[in-house]
Amino acid sequence: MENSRHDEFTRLLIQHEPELIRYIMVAVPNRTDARDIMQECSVSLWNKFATFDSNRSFVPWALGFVRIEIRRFLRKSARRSQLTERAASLLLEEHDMTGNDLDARHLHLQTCVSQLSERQKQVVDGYYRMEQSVDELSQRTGQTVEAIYKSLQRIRRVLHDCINSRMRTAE
Amino acid sequence: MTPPLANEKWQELIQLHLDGIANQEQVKNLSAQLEICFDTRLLYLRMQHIHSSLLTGEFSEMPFAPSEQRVLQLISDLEESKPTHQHRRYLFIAASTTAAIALLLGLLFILSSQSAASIEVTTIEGPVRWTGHDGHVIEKLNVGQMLTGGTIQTTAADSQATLTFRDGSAVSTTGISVLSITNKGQKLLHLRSGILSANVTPQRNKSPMNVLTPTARLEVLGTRFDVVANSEGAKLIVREGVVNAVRTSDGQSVKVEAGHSTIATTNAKDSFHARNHHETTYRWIANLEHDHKQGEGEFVSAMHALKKRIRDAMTKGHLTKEQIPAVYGAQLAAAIDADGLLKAQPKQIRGGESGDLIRIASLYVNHNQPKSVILTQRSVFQVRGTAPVETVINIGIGVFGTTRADAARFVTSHKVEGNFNLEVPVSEMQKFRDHSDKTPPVGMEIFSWFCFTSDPNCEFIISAVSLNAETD
Repeated sequence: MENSRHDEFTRLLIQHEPELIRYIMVAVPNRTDARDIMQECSVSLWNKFATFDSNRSFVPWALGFVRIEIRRFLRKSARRSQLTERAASLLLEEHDMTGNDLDARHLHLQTCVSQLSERQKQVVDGYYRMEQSVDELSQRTGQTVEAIYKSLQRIRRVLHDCINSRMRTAE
Repeated sequence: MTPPLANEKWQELIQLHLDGIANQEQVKNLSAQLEICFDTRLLYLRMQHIHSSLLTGEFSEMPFAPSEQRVLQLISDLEESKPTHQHRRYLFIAASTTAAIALLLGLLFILSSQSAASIEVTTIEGPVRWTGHDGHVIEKLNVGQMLTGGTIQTTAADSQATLTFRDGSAVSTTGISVLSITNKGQKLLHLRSGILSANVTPQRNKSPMNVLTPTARLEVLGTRFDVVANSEGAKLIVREGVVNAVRTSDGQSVKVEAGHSTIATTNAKDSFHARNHHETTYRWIANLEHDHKQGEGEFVSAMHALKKRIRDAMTKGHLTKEQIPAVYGAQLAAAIDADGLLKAQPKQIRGGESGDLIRIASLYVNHNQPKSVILTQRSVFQVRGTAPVETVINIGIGVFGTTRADAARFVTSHKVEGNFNLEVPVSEMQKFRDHSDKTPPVGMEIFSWFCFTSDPNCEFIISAVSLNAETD
């Protein structure tokens, strides 16, 4: 019985972890911090999994724990460069409200990524897929750290504009 | 409201924060701006969404390193924290602490639920579905029922629901509408599509009610208004008080006072201003170059079209270079001043498969003019064009209600081949996909015109569209 619950937990966490991490990153965009929060949160989820009703959706249940961990993290690291709790809370609320908008934008993201130049795709691949640090990317490509940051910012701006443009032309 | 130019500054700051290189002062400024400005929050959410989606890799052309490995490692770590008898004493303390925390959280939950459960269902007609933020679905709502945040869907043409907040503000949705509501100190409504009528009691100055649509945000301090929204535009009609409308595409804002209305489309080039709701016109002549919708028609100048015709004739051997002045001289001279053509474009219908390709040409109606175009019983569209093969074209319009919040599409069909010059009375148009309702769109305000065929290979062309208006 416990094994089957354990399997269920594993399946649900694997299935929904990307969505939960994306949610954490609304308030805490640093990927290492977001993963740390996810780690803490997973412990809480596992400890409370006995109370989870399998007939209900996992994500809304898990998000309750995620919010608590985000708040805890922001309080703990208030002196570091983190958003205020109030700003983070407003963003999370509006993230819930604008779900449809973000879902629609998500559909266009793949197309927009495919339209990036080869050089831009390499930066995306290194930074996001291989999760290399900007320093590592700088050493690998021979570009300065500043140039890598500029490149990442330009790529996100290009993707943002591309999605906006596709949203405007879509029915 | 964030001025358009300031958007770039905030976008830059957001990007620095996403990369973790913003200094403490910059993050403090960003936080302060996020706390007061909805537009900056929306911009942040969109930029952040790109950042986190790239990281979690669901968009990728190539499979990203799966997170499964990491999760399995996590599970393995968790297993080590499973309770054992050797840890009983530790567990007792942990369990007590957990119970205390749970009790505290429970109390907090109850308190927060009580403050949030401040939306009462005051009228219900027809099928209406409620989905709470916790995912709980209620298919049958009752008058008097108390709700917390969630989404209400009126799912039939005759559906209607009114929700009343604790402060007396009431919002109604009618027809086929989807409205999400959050009420945590500040009312935030997201009209995803459909019709919303609101009667809002005075709100705290710093906490206006915000109504979000796909193309606009409305800030409401205390007023009565109607909104009709879909993916291409939102029309706001203010009955009492003032509403500040902000267009999403460029952050431009306009104050709309009682007796005035405005339309916010997805196109930032469209004019965006309040107009007297009672100043109307009954005529419209399309400017194909400026009115066509991007992706739903390609404008070709008359000269360009004529040159192409001449080239085709020469390629086919029907015309020699020497014959051009004699055959086309007059037409070439006239083409300099002539209007152009709108070539219909193929378009995939949303959610459709490869078979759902249509060919369409669409226009915005009077979108940059101060007056609304109203349809009468005797309104007639004149449509000129060319179809290379026989086809059935569907001529339709998007309209808003004028006396009450309402929005619909009306359509009629005509068989055409070769050059055509159609007179299409508005009275023959019927509601799109709802042929049971025979009421024509008389008295309604037209905001878009479209023409499509289900044959994607039929490259038809529209050369002129106008609405000849006769008042009753």
